[in-house]
Amino acid sequence: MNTLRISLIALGIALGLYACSTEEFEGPSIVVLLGEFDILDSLRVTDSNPDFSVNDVVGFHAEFNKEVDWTLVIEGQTTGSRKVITGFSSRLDSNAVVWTGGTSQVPFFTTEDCTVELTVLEEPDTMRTELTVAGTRVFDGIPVADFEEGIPEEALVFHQFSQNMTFEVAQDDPLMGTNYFKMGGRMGWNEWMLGQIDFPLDLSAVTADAENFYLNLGVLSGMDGALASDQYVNILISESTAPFNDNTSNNGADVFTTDMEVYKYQIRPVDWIGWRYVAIPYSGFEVKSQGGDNVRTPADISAIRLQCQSCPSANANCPENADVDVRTDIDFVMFTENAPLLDQ
Amino acid sequence: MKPVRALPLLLPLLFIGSALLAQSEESVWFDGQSRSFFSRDALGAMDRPDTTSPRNLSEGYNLLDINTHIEPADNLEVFAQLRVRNRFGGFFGAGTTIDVRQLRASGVIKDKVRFSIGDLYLKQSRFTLFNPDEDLVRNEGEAFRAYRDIVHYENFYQDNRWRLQGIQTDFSMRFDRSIRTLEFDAFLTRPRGSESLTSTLFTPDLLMAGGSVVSQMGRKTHVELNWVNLFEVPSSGTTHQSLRNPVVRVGIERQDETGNWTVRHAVEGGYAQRHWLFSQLEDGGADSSGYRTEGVYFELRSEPMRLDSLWSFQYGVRHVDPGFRSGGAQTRRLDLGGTVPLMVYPTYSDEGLDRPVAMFDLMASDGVYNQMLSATLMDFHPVYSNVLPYGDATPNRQGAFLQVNRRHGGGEWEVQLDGGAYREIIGQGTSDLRQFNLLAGRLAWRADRTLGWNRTVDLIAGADVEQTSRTGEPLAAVDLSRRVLDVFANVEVADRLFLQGAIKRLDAQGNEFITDRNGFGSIRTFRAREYDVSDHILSAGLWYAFSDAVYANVQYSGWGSSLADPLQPDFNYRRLLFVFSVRL
Repeated sequence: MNTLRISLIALGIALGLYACSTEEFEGPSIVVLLGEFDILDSLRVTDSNPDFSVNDVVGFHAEFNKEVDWTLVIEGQTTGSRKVITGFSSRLDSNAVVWTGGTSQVPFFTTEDCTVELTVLEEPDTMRTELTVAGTRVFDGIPVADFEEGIPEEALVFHQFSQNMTFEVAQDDPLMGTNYFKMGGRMGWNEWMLGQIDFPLDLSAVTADAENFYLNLGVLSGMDGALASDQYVNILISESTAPFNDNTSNNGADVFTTDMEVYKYQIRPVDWIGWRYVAIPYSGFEVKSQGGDNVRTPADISAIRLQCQSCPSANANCPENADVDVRTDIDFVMFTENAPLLDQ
Repeated sequence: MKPVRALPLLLPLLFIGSALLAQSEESVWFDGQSRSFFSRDALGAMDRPDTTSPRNLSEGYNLLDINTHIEPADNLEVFAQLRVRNRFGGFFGAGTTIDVRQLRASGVIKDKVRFSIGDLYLKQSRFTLFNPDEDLVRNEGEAFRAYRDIVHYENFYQDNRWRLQGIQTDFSMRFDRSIRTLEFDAFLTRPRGSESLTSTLFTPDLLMAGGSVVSQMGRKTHVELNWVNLFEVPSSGTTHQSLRNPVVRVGIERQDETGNWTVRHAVEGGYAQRHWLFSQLEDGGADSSGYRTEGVYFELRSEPMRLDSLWSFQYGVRHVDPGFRSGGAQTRRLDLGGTVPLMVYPTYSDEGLDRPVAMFDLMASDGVYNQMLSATLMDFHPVYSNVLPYGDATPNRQGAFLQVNRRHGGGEWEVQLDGGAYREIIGQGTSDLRQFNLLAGRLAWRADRTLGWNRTVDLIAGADVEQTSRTGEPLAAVDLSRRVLDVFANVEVADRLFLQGAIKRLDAQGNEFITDRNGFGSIRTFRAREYDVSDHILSAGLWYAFSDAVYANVQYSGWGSSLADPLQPDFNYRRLLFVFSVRL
């Protein structure tokens, strides 16, 4: 019994000594968290005249007395483009909080003056500075079409011949550069498809898998503030090895027939006014028809089709569309690997 | 599993069972569980209009769990539990599911070594591997047994054990000298398999291994050594991080007799460490470890009891380090992380607000219960449990506890008191320490015995109070009090037919700071919360006990919460419940 008692006491003392903690407290200080917010070092930029075309990077620096939810907004004074960066920290590290010329919300930045605002959640202070973009960002990716040289020579355009059909390059409201491609009109009969544009592609050098391969495109909609109901962009991607356009009498490319390996995605509905830039992972495309191995392989993509479709007013399907033009214009169509274009 | 796919699997098994039964009546036997469940929920008096929610909803199902026990040889048993479940409204297979719910093979090798493979129910000690009770059940008794039975059965909760899948073995030896017995137990389980994060990123397998050596030394002394390790196997996934959480425990108990009393003294202590290993397989570099925490615990406990067991006490002191992490013992049953949708009216009011969790959800939503061991401390609701949210193994606590049980010699009444006073060892977000007080009492009166009635009349009343405070820096001050009242009446109005009524009410006022942890369990920040809550469940119904294993229960409940928050309107609902439960 004596041995047992000694053992118990020794165990208690040993554990008690071991248990002594030198830490003052766990986690961040509540007094600092809930205490008065203080700016220790206000907002600064590492480069106020960046040329993103030569890969300049702008770093942002600021320091607070506690960890806070902060939001940094860079806004183009000409385009209205906005890049938003958020975080939760007591410090903006100029090596980590950086801007490479991309945008969070189209239109894209151009060479323009920009305001930079840093705000903190539940705090009235706003830190401001300015910078001037001397050169715009050149995005990494595989271009399909930016329409700057008009419609690509090898592309095929088809549209119905109903009212106000606009399947052509225009300059009045481009997303990027000076040109964009209009796809719209008003259907006079019971037909969903208004028109389309097909592009041949050679992506054999691509190594990304379908989950990490993105189709990016800008879509413009709204005509005098009005929208056609259930209008959408129907996208077909073909992995067929058949010739792109052997049959010149069928109103389009030959690689989207029902016995071929074709995948489909619909940007539906297009229910916004103005430009919106959309990114779709290739893995998000569904199998359109029987044919092929049903394995989405970016390197095997041979063509893409962008169709303008809408619910027709005829036969009382969507009678409200009788007085409004469909509009699903497109611009800056590009594939990217590993991340959507706006995340670059 | 789709019924059409499962039927071909089920039918041969039934035929095999029948064939074996025909060969030998002792080689196959069946048992199981059957349940019919129907509930109808309805909107009650609401603080704000709710025209978007249906005025009432009904749901129900029948299920049958068939346990097949096959003895292909002496000392060998194969056990399979198949579930057939048919949702009300299902027709010709629609809404019907057939699942294999449990599988286990067990036996004894050479009459000496026992083993089990498959679904295991494992428990070691309160600090190494233990499934602590859920919140708010301390004084409930049989008041909401129909609900609790379902929750426990559906989540495989049996006697504070975790259901794990793997292999377990044990054997024992007897001696006639100072060491009388020596018992060994070991297991290896896989709580979670590799899971896909993306098409190329997979988490590693999570395994738990453990072992115990228990010895009876002499007539009075009992010694235990336990070890568990919750860990991930890096090579089974493609992520670069893997968990290590070993825990070791030593416990010694001694039992003495003094006059009319027996007294059991116990001392135990242990050490736990947790870290993540960061592998550099692709780079060929050396592995590193990070997010390391470690700590010890110890407990001294005495349990005097009169030989006639009319009085018993339990008191002691306990210290659990802030860094003591034991995934097997600190995992909570209730998953209040907010990711599990509530089963009944998850949104309310015309604004479509998310309904806050209420006491009733802890009974009626078996989906808020957790079956998976967690390597990090899970979220808890300070109103439901703030003193010991992770059971006795709650880290960063030291204090004293006391329990008193008094029983009437004729079994007419029984009183139980529980108390505890704890404080933090280091502060959270401030050097000031929280103080915790817990006091609970329960009186159970068998009125029929006192009054000499023939039919059973049980009255049970209990209260459970928790108080948390932190003084010092005003910005970090905490003052939260919570009271739970339970009243239950069970009156036998005819042979085996009971009229039952129950009240459960919770009131909480004050403030607390919710701890927000990152994926490695480190505190990221604190979120200040104010509470002014009144939560209630009122229930009345009939219980018919066909036998100890078969019962039917119909009950009508009103439940709701008053939140004293202009952004969260009060809510009230009603429920009609019917349960017919058969243990085969």
